[in-house]
Amino acid sequence: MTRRSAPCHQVGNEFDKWTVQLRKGLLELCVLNALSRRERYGYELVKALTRMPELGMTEGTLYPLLARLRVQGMVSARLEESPEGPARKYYRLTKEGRHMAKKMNRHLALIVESVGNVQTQEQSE
Amino acid sequence: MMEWTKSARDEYERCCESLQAGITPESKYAELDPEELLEDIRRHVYEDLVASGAQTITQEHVRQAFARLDVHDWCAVEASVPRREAGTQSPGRSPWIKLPVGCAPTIFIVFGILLPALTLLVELNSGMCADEFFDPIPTVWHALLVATVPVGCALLFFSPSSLKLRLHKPYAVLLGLIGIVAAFYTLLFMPVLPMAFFGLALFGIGLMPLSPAISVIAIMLVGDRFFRDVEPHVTGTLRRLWGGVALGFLALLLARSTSTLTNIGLRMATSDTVESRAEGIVFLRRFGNEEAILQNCYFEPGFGGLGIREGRNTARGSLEELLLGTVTPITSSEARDVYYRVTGRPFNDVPPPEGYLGAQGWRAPKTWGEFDRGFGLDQVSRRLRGLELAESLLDVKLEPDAAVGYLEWTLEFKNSVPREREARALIDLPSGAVVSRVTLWIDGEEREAAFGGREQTRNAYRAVVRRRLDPLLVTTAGQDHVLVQCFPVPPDGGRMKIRIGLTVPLPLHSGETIGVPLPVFSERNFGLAEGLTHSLWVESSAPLEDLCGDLEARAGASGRHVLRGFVSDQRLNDGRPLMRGSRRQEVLTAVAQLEGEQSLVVQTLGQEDVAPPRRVALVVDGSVAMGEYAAAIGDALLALPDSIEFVLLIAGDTLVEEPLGEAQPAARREQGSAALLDFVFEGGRDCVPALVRAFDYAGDDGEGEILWLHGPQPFEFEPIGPLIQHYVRADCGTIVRDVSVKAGPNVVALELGAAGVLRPLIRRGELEFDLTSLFDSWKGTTQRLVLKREQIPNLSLRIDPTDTVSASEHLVRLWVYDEVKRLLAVPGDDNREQATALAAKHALVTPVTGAVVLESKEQYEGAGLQPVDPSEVPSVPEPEMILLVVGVLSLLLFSLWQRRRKGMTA
Repeated sequence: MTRRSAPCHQVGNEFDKWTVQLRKGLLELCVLNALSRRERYGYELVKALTRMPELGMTEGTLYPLLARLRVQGMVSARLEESPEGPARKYYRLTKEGRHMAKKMNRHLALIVESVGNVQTQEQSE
Repeated sequence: MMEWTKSARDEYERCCESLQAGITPESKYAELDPEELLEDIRRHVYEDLVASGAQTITQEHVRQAFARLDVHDWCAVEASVPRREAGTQSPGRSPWIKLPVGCAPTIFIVFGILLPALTLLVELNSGMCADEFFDPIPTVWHALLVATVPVGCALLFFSPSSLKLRLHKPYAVLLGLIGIVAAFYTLLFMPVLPMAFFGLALFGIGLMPLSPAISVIAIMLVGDRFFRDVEPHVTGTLRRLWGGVALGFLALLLARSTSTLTNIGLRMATSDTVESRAEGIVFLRRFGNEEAILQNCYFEPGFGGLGIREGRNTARGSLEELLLGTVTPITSSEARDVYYRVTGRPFNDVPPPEGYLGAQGWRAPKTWGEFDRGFGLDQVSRRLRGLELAESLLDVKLEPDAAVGYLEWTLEFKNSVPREREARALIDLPSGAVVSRVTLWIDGEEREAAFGGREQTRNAYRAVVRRRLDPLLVTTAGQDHVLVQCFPVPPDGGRMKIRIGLTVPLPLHSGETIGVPLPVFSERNFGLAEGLTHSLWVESSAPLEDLCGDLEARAGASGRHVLRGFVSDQRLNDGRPLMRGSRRQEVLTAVAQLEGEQSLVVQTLGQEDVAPPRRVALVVDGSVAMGEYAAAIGDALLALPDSIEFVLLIAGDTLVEEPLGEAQPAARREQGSAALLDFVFEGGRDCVPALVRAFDYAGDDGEGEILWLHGPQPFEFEPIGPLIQHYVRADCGTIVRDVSVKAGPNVVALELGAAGVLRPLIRRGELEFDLTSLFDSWKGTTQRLVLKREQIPNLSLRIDPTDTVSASEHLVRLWVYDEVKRLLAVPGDDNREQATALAAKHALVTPVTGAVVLESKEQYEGAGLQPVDPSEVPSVPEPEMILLVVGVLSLLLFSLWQRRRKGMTA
């Protein structure tokens, strides 16, 4: 009896689920990295992150995330008057946030490296 | 500043309220401050609306902004707050068409990318649609625009989402551009769509006409996917899409602009009203495309491009006109007329249009289907692709003392297309020259022509041509012009060789200098092989002088003088002499034995007084060919003597007459010279109105003269009849001195020549030199050298051996030609028959006789013709020369002895 392989679309669905899980864990790091060089106002930050479809972010999810990071002390916020419309809210990394980002990036690099090592090991065996 | 509609503001508030209510203790982010979150969302939506660029914010704008936010997964908002569709990235919008998973990419690649690419390649290669209906790709720009459709579809289809986002601006422009191109072609192919559906349903063919419509669907699909990919993340994409549409429309308009403007100009130039026609010509000179007009000159619709019938041009390729249904037919002869007026060149003076894309064309010309409308007829007609002159040899032998020359022009044609061709050429002969030998090579053997009545030879030629056998025909085509036609130039690189022999009276520059005029092509239906030059060999008993710098002097056999070299066709055509020869000034008489009769032809050189004209009308053709000579004519004009009244008439689109009013002679000349420099020489102009005015100015008292400087004029615009009538009825003896600066067909010159009014100006050098010399000669009464030929009985000749030379039989031929013209000048059948018999006997091509070479004895017998005995034909050198010289010298000695005896008796 031959074993039938999974249809293409089924593989695609599994892959989509996996990417959703992967992205979830990386959301905070992405926000912290986006603020690592300079402060940004909310709309600018949201657009910069949503422009990268691989990250799978939607605009609505980022504001609660920013609010939570602020509560956690990773980012600070300040309001600045805009020439048109409501005042803009600028976000920047705090010292804790910068430290956290550094740790998270280092750990992610280790994970990626380990994944690569596992693959190399498997191939050599 | 943005303006909000009431519904937009209401929607905004409603969504915000819903959000506020939705952030409950049970929600995902219950620990967060709802007020703060709400403020963030409000700010974001506002910034988003500003970024959209909309001046007026509508309810839909607000809904889209909230949909992009998509707060449903963390906030229990009302269902009425817009949300993003599950599984898509496009807010509030599902894919335009959902194709079955798996087969979608294949279908798209086949129909959206490969089909339009294939259609374009097939049309470019075969011209299928261009042959049958209209040319969808009339320019290279159209080809490029059409190519953007498959390329654009492929780019949009295969690009990853990240690339689309990064390049969303150019991609949106591209999408708009290919969309409008595909839509335009769908509209264009609309009339043939029913036929295509029918063919597809019944025979499974006809997909290509459907290609634009299928492309539109493909572009909508790929566009929909593109917007779903980028819309959630960026704004303003739609604006750029419309920018692309505008760009595509502009590109289509620009690509068509030259041919559209040309078609508009052609309609104007061939309209019913004189004003519109004149405006059309001016319009075409400014905005028209020469190649497009030329294509109209050649277009012969019908039977899938086989061109069985010629005449109506459906303005092929006029997409806009086809769409608007405003196609007005233009005949190819109308287009040829317009081509001359616009460019100043006969349409067959330039190579035929190359393929469908004209000058830019990469599509191979369809020579296999080209139909030769002039086949067997007495017109040169269109240039034939693939037919060219491969070799041209001019052998000239001069008898300078007798001012007679014999010239043989050997022409070899090559045909590179897979179909037999007839080569036709109108040859402009030196003034007074006559064709005295015609030879055709058949299977490597020389066959001499039979000389007979004009119609007799023409009918014999047509009969043989119809049977696709080898004939050659030479007939006259107006004063000093012959039409040469030979068939068949074999296909696939085959060659055909012919030779025309001319007996030429040499113009006397002075008692001791002669000119050596050469024949030129006035019109031809073949091209010249690349780099072809005419190989020239001129031989004389007296020194020869090279005037063009291309010839090399060398010593010939028996101490004869030779000039040889290679001359370009352009140089041969520009009217300037290539060389001149010396002669013995003391020789005043030349004699030649008239074969079979007890008489001689005697040519005597005399002088006659020529009084200068009192009035001169200087007629200058305003065509483009004359432009480079304007300064030379203007400078020469200053040398016109004060005693001569003059008027300068420039044949422009309207007649320019200078000088006007009273002024001192010098001032008038200056005025005329300045007018020439100021005039814009362009296109092709009609000289008839200027010549009519010139005849009026010259008057009826015989003291006026016309000097006409011109280029080619292949068409009659204003009727020439009244001009000839004016001259003939007035019978005033007004002379038109003819100066042609460029070889080419000229119907006005032919008509004036036939009326006997033209007298070519003997060219000795550059135009300014010749004109200045002429004007200098008008400063007082001058003496002109005149050659007079007559037949006298042998014994009545009084010969002075010191001033007499014997001449070859060519002198006899020139006398016979004089006789034929004299006989024909008097109406009457007897004279005509006598002239025909005389010309045929002496093997001359005259207005009443022609020369034809046929393939076999039976063909000659069937036509009632007898070919010339090869041993009796003239050649270079003349075969009978030695015998003739001996004979005439004996005669001279006999005459001298007789005179001395009479003296002794006395």
